[in-house]
Amino acid sequence: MIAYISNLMVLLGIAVILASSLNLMVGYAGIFSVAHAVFYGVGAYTAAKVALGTTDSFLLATAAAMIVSGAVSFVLAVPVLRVREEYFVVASIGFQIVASTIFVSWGAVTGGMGGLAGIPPASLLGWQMSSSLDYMLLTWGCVVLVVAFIALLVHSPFGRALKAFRDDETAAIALGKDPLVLRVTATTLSGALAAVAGSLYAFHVSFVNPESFTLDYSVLVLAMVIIGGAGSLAGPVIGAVFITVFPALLSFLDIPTLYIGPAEQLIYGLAIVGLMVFWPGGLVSVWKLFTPGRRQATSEG
Amino acid sequence: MIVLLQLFVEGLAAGSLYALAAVGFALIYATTRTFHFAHGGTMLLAAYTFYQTVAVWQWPVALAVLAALVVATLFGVGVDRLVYQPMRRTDASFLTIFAASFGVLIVVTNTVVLLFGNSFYSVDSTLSQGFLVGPIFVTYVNILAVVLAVLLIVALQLFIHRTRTGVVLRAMMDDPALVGIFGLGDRRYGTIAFAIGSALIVPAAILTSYSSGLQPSMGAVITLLAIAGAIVGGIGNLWGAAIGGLLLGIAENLGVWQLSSSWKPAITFGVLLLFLMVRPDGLLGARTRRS
Amino acid sequence: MTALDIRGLRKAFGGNVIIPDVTLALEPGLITSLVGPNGAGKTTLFNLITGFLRPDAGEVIYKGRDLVGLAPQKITRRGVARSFQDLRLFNDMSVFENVLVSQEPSLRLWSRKSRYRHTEAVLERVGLAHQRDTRAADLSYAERKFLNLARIMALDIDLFLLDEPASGLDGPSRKTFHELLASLKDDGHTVLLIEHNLDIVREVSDRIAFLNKGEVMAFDTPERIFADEALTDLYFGTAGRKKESQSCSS
Repeated sequence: MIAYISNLMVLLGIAVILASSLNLMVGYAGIFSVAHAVFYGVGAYTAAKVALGTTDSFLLATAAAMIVSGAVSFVLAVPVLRVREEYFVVASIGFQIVASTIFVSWGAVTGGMGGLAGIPPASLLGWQMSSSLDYMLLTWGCVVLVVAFIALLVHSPFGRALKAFRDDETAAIALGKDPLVLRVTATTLSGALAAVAGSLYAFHVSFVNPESFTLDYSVLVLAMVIIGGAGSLAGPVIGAVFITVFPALLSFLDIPTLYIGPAEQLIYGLAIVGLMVFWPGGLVSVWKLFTPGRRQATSEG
Repeated sequence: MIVLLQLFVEGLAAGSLYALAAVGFALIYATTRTFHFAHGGTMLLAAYTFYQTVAVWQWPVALAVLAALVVATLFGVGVDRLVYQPMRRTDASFLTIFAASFGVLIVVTNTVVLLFGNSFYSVDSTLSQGFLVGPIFVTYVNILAVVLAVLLIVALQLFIHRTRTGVVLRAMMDDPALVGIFGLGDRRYGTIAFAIGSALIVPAAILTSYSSGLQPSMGAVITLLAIAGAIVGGIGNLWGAAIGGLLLGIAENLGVWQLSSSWKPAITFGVLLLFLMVRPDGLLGARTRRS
Repeated sequence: MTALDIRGLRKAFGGNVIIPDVTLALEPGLITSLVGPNGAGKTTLFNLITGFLRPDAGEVIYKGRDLVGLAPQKITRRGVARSFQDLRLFNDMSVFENVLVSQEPSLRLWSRKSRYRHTEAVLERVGLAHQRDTRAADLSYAERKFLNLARIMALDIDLFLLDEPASGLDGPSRKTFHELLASLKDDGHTVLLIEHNLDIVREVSDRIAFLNKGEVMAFDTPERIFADEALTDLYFGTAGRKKESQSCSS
């Protein structure tokens, strides 16, 4: 029982990290991406390679994963964001599809369809992970760090500049802010943080293969952000919980397994459409309707 | 060499269908400034409607085509009326509208999966057969694809240059400001754009059922191709979209000469990325850069 | 030595030539008002100088280098910034954040204390310190105009291009605004002001540049401009001549 819950919590934690890091791009920098699974995957594969080849140190593997994933994000972002960020969406879909093909085809590095297996358990400063409980602690430790970092970013000059861009882009530019630099930085950070989730996944499951890093999963992460509420810190957490827990609820209804996947996705799609039309702020904004608002800055009347 | 020529012919046929999808998308975007991501869903519905009526219910082909047309047009218009227009009334941001469009595509794709399953269908007919032109094998579908695409795109150009409604649409395309304040009731014209754009993709849907078959994932794939074609050709320009779609079809198929067909999307993406880096305005487009 | 050297600037939209030829040498350390009838091209000129529009021909020389072709954010970093007629405040952010965000470098995890102090100083100066936590959208009209000025004052620049910064302000507010503009001059900055309001033009300007149909018709001290009957008739109307008979400061 403990193993089952720990396992679920690890997956939930990974989802929270992915949704929060994607939110940095989507909610704060205003760039839609359907390629987040690529950075998740690149992180996972890199961590796997490090663990299989060099060391089982979680810190080193994750650091390597973040660097490689960040670099890949950077390389994608620079040419595309220079033009129109709306095109980034389309480019990201293409990028995701290509990445999936590469994951499958570049057997020498990724192990092809079979992927990389036999990843040793992680070790963190002498603490050798063995049980699901260990990984759960590690994962949620990372979740806290990642979310705290994003919170720090949001309240930093960087976050303020992004907020200014969301508010009035022309004014921000007139005040000397460079849109490309800000967006590329947000995208690169987003990719690097996703790699943390990748590293956690690789060590926890002890193998990586292309099936976990597909367009479907990218869409799922984007759904978490949109449904939970983009542009807030709590939104992606709520979205991740909703989408990770929801399938468990569905399993109480007697739906044949063949239908569960599409039925879930159908409901997410409907949720997205419904929310965008009525409550673009996502579940977070719906929740705010029922709680007395605490405005950060209030006027005297 | 013969292989290349064969691939070129196939690319021409595929590209013609992509051109239809791209032109439909470009028409909708240029007139209403809506990034109709669910455009691929229109194709999906048309194709599966056609399959269901012709292969399962054994309707005559003409009736099946009509059914597909009706479903596609109703869907396109429906999404505009029920999703985009309410959102534009509340001044939703571009990305919010995009997310909704995206959601619609997810709904359509998964509805199809629930109704038809994930497996691959195809429609048999004499059309899949063909004949030899020298050393090159040309199927009737190939010919139909090119002919239909040319006819329909030319017809569209005539429409927007010669008819009253068409001229209004063209005015909306030239001046985005008109898209908000048009006194004649831009909602009506926006709906017309959605109807035409959606109808244009139906031949592509039907011919694809004959040639490559049907699969739920083709909704997303054709969306990507339509948008990429429109961008490469120069977003907002109909001829550009047609050329862009054609170019992608040819490039994809020529690429198969060296790479396996699973790399086709990679080629599309590669071409798209190349254009975004080197010529972001596309082949025939107006300035895209923010000023 | 000029603060800004505009030579032969030209801009056409389609077949419509908005700016046929603008040549103007701004004198440093002075407040110059750019006046002219509606549609003369004043805001277009601002857009051309600050990179929001690209001219078809001409140069804009600042500190020895041509600004034409540079992106607006780069021009601001060089020391030339503009404000907007429609303000474009960051409505969801507080007064304090509006001023803070304009001057902070954006790639930082935190700002040095000196930035916070500087922000407070600017807010004191424009008289908005008591509203520091108020959302910009919730401010009064006059307060929004002052915040607009505060944002640009917080930047590290030499040349201010202000587009109707004080329009719509009542007497006392306007006076305070003038004092602020004068203080900019005292700090050694150069100001180019688009203004329709005669009083402001008269009270504050060291020089007046008169723009009509995209060309500079006159560029001189206020005394000489107001003494030219043909000019004052053309734009200011007889009201100009009536007011001109009262003594004017320079």
